[in-house]
Amino acid sequence: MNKFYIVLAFLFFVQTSMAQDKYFTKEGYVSFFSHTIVEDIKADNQQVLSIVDTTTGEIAIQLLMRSFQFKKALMQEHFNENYVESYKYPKATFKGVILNLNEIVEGDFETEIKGILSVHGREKEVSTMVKVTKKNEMLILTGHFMVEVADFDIKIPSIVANNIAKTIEVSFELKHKPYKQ
Amino acid sequence: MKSKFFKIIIFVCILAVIGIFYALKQYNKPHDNIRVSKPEMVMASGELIKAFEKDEITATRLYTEKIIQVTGVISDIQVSDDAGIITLKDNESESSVICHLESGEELKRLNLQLGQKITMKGKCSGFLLDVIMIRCIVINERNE
Repeated sequence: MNKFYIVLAFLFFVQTSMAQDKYFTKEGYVSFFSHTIVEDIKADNQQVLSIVDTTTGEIAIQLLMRSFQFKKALMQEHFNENYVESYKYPKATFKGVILNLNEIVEGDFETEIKGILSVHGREKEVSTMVKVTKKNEMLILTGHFMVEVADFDIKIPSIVANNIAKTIEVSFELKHKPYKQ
Repeated sequence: MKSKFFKIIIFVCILAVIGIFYALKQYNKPHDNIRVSKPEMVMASGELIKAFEKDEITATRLYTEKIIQVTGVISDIQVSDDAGIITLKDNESESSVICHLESGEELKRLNLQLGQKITMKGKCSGFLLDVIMIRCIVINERNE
C-alpha cells in the first residue's frame, strides 16, 4: 500500500508544472477467462483504479479481488476464500511503463506495456501489447495477456483441477480521463 | 441375507442421490439477493470512510463481503457503460464511498440530484482511494 502512495505522490506532485499529462480512472474494466473442456469461467471487475503519466509513460493500476463478479456464486466464494485468499490479499496491483507513450497525439497506437503484476502476494514481471487510443480528452488502454496460475502460488485442489485452466487470459479496458486538481 | 444386502444397496443409492442433489444445489446456488437481504450493518458514509482510513486491514476484515446500508450526500452521478455509479462525499475526507448500482437500478438514478441525501444498500468490496460498494440498491431518496 505504501508503495502505491509513493507512486501516486510521484505521479501527482513531481511534475505539476506540466500541462495535462496525468490521466486516471476509477471505473476501469478488467476481466479474466479460464477455458477448459469441462467449463468456461469468466469474472468481471468494473472498479479498477488506474493512473497514467503520459510524459513518462508510467502507469499504476490497483484493483480489489472482491470486486470480481462471477456468474456462479459458489465460484466467486471459492475464488475469494480458497484460491486467491482475498481476506489476506485483498488487492492486485500492476506498476509499469507504457513504451513511447509521449509520441502519441491523437488516434490509435499499438505499443508495449511492461511492469510488475502482483497478485496473491506474489510478484511477476509481465509484458504485453496494448492498444492506446487518445481521443476527445480520453486515454483508452485495451489489451489482453496470459498468466500462469502457478506463478502466483495459487493452489487449485485436485478435485477441480480439470475445471480451471492452468493459464488464464486477463483482459483490460481502461478509459482514463484527464486528472484535474 | 439377500434382503439385507439389498437394503444396503438401496441405502447407498439414496445417500448418493442426496449427495448429488446437494452438490448440484450448491453449484447452482444464486448470488445474495441484495434487494431483499437485510443489511448486516447500517452506517453513514463518513463513518465507513473513517474506518478504512484509520485501519484498512481491520476495516477490510470487518466490512468487505458484508451487505451494508450506507447513507450520505451525493457528490457525483455518472454512467459507466450501462451501469450507474453514485459517489457519496464526506466533507472531512479526500475519500468518498463509490457505489456501483446493481443492474436494473439505472432508471431510479434519473430522479437523483447532486447534494441530495440518499440511503443505499450494497456489498462492500474494499478500499482503493475510496470505499468501493458494488451491487447497490437505492433504498430511499429525500431532499435535504
